[in-house]
Amino acid sequence: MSSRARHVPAESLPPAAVDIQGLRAGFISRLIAGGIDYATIAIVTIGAYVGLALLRFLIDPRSYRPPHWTFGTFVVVGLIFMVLYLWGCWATYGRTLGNRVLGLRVVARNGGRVHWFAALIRSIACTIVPIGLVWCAISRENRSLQDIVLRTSVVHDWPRSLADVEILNTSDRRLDLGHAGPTTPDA
Amino acid sequence: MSDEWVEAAASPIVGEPRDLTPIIHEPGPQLPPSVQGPVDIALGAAVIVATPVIAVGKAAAYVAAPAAGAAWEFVKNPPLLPQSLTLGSMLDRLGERGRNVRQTATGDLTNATSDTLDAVVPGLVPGLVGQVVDRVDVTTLVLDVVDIDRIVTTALDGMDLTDVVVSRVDLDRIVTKVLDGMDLTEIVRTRVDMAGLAEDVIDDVDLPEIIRDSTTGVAADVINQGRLVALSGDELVNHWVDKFLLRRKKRQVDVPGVIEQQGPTS
Repeated sequence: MSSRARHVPAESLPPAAVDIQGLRAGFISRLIAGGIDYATIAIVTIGAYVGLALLRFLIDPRSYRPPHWTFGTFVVVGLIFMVLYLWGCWATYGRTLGNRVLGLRVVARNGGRVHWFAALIRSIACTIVPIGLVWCAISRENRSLQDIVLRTSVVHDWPRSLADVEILNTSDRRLDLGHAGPTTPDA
Repeated sequence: MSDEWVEAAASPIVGEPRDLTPIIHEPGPQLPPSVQGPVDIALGAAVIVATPVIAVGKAAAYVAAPAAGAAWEFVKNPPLLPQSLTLGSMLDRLGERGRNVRQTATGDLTNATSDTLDAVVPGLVPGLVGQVVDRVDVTTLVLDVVDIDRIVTTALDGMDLTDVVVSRVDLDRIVTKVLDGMDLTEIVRTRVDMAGLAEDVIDDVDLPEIIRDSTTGVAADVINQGRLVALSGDELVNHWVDKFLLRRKKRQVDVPGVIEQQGPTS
């Protein structure tokens, strides 16, 4: 993989945030990011329900009846969406919408992008056992249970713009924060 | 004068040659008519009488000239007389003396003439020139005869007009006077296409891009503030948990492979 230096312009960051780039994030940041992701998935799930209802109406308006979804159905569909959403985001961009808002990124042990299979396992684990995040507050390394098992980390990586994030992920697959030393090769 | 000059300058300078006679206003001085007639008659009679006399005289002189010449030569240089006593010699001496006198007189006359001219010309010339100028339309004459275009072109080629204007003209005063005399606002309002100008300016300025940039900047600032608040929450939680668990060492939050950094940790 290319080791082309990719510098995140430190001057675009608030002074207080410059030194924390690349360090593991704490509990509150990750909790808020998770909350945003849950809210996103909730909206998507409700949207899926509305979309399904509209589809039914368009197909057979006469005998139209809204889909009968129980609370459990919503939960199951939401969990499935959550797994797919987290998996896709972590395996490609390394961050979900909540991570993006909070300036976080999920990285593998070596600092690179998480392997797709590890991302899948992590997304399932985070969806089923979200309480594992609490361990992040207790851990000396700011790691949740899922991080410990899968040897992943959630670090601060405040993007300046979406373009920066995409370039960082697609070209280098690594975090290179500009002021840091040379990056280690991919494992 | 200035109007004539302007009109002449606007017209072709070198044109058809014109007869200068009409521009002479008056003829020269003449005898009175009562005297002019008799004088002309007398002159005519004299010419009639004198013409045959002159012709006869010419013929006689033509016939007698060779003999007269020989006789005159004999008289001037008779034989048997010393050369200094001959008539010719005496005539030569007389001629020499007369020539000396004439030359002296001529020199005196020349000097006297020059002195006279010096004394007379200064008083005479202005009046004379005045008379000439009064009788001749000098402007028309100059316009017809002189190639003013060529003169002006040569003069302009030989001088730095800009330098002349800059060094000799009080430009500040002129500009101030001009500006004081005009209503610039009104001029701009009436003569400038403000709508077109505004459209050009708007076309040149990428307004949507500016709005987008400013909006993005504001949004980024808000998000950064939110992240900093969350960061404070992280530090607060870590502080209390570590205190509760009686930890003394700082948390190891750096990720090998991402950054080797000894930065502040929470």
